[in-house]
Amino acid sequence: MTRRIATIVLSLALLLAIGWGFWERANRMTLTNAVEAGGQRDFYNLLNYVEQAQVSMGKSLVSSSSRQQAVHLTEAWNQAAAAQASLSQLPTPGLKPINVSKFLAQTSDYSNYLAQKLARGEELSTQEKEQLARLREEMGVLARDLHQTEGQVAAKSLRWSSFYGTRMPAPFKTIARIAVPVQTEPPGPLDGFVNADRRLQTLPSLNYDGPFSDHLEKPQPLGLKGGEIAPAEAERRAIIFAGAAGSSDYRIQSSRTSNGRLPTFAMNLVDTRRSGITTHVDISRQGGEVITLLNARPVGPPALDATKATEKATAFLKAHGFDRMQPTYSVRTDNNQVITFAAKEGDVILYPDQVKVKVALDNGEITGWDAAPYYMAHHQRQLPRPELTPAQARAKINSGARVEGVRLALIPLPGGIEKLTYEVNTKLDATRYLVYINALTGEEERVMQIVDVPGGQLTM
Amino acid sequence: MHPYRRRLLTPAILVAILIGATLWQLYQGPTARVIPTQAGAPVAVGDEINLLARLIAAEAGDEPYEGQVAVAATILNRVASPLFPSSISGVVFEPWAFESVHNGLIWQVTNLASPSRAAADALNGWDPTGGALFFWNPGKPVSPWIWSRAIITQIGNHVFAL
Repeated sequence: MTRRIATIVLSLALLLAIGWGFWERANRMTLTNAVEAGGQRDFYNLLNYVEQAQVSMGKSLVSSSSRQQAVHLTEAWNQAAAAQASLSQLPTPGLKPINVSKFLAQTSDYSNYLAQKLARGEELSTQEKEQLARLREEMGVLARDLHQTEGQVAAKSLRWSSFYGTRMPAPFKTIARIAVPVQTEPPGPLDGFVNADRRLQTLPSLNYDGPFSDHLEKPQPLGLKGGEIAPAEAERRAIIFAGAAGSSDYRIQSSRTSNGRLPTFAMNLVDTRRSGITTHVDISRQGGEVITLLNARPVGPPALDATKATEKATAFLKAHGFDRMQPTYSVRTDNNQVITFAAKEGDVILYPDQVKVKVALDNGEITGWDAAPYYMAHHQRQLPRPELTPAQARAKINSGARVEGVRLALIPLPGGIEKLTYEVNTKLDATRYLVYINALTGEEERVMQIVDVPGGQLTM
Repeated sequence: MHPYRRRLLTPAILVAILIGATLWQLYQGPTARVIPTQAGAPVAVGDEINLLARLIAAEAGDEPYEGQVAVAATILNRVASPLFPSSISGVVFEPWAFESVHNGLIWQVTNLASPSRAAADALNGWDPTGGALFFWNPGKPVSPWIWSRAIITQIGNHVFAL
């Protein structure tokens, strides 16, 4: 009797276990199919966008109307960008197709640059057309490589979902191999990508006025002068600066070198008066300037308002030799006020020469300093004299917008270019825009929308 | 105890374990954990700050503050680079880009106070790495390819490179 009960219970247990196994498997298959669908979607999107971009580039080359050219280049810009987005989300383990990615991003950016040039009423140069033709050709070869992969995808020898999953422990793998012998290794499923990536690595460099132009890849700091300083000198300067920022005393805890865009001595400092407070200072190796300061202290409830914080920051800048700085934007994050300053030359605001100062709103100490943009961009400039009067710039503004202020500003544009403009502060309905009118040609160079964030404000 | 009863004990325990496991599975549901929608206190910059803070907490939760800002800055440098997707979410969810996304740690982190501040500082422009695109922990196994990148510096347990 009891034995029979035991048998029944055990059989039930076995059935339950088997049922559970099937249930788990069904779950896993659902997830696998979802992952596979995602991979397939990204792959076919990539393939389609690459083909479409190639077509659009061809159309813009054959067209003789600059309006049509601009339309097709705008298409190519979007299609190449979409191809890059799809490529980056494709699961390609052990292979990072960065050269394909760069090629697509650059082609997109270059098409955008050409379209904008046409929109300004300029013609494409022969050289630019040749460049575009070359990129189109590369796009075609890339499409061919991807078709090779597509063949495998269609024949189901490449399953994107198969790249996920936990690895089987080695002994089980061996058993599985003996039980189900593998046929000869299929041709590498990602060969198409490997080939394309290798080929595109050797693409000649592409120089134009856009953010992804090759000449901008290694920007050199323009604002650092003098020779290399000694580490001891850097430590001395860091202690003085941190002491002034925190109204306290600091000692060096650790120091190392950093080889970023601005090579620095990077130091961690400890407050000797208040326990548990550390700060970080970067001093440039060339010239020994203070590039950044960052205090990790959590800040308590505010005792200061934004205006007081801006006064503190301005005074701190003055004390460190930044006499002619103008606050341009101020934003509150947590209990800190971050104020962006730009240099001023005469009555021109130099937006590229930017310093950010972070003020703790509980006691007004300086908890952050970022002068990296300033030292990257700052140099002696020969500013042209504006050809337009402020009233003429104002007249260029869309009649529906209300103008609230005009001032001269030097602005950075894509491609490392700087232009002298009138910054016209306008309001359309409830939204604030800064419209930049070229002070020499009267052309509209750029529009910026000021996004309202809580605690953020433009300081004019 | 009666010998027959003793013999029953083992299958009974087995059944209990199985039923328990099944109930537990059903209770947890197929997507094991609920994903919280809000990460920490809202901060005044950017919509993706919560996502960024989560990634910092998962990737560099035990790192010094400067190392957390550095990780956030690396993500933002990627967004600006042609080698990577052009949005924060695109960079974060790139397959195999971050281990914590792959193993789900990013959804389990709880301490977001310091990571949120680090994310805000990075979004405001601070970059302790001076333009890094990669970071990794030299103590863990990584793809040998990564060592071919130009190393900028080491902050805490992470090496940062161009």
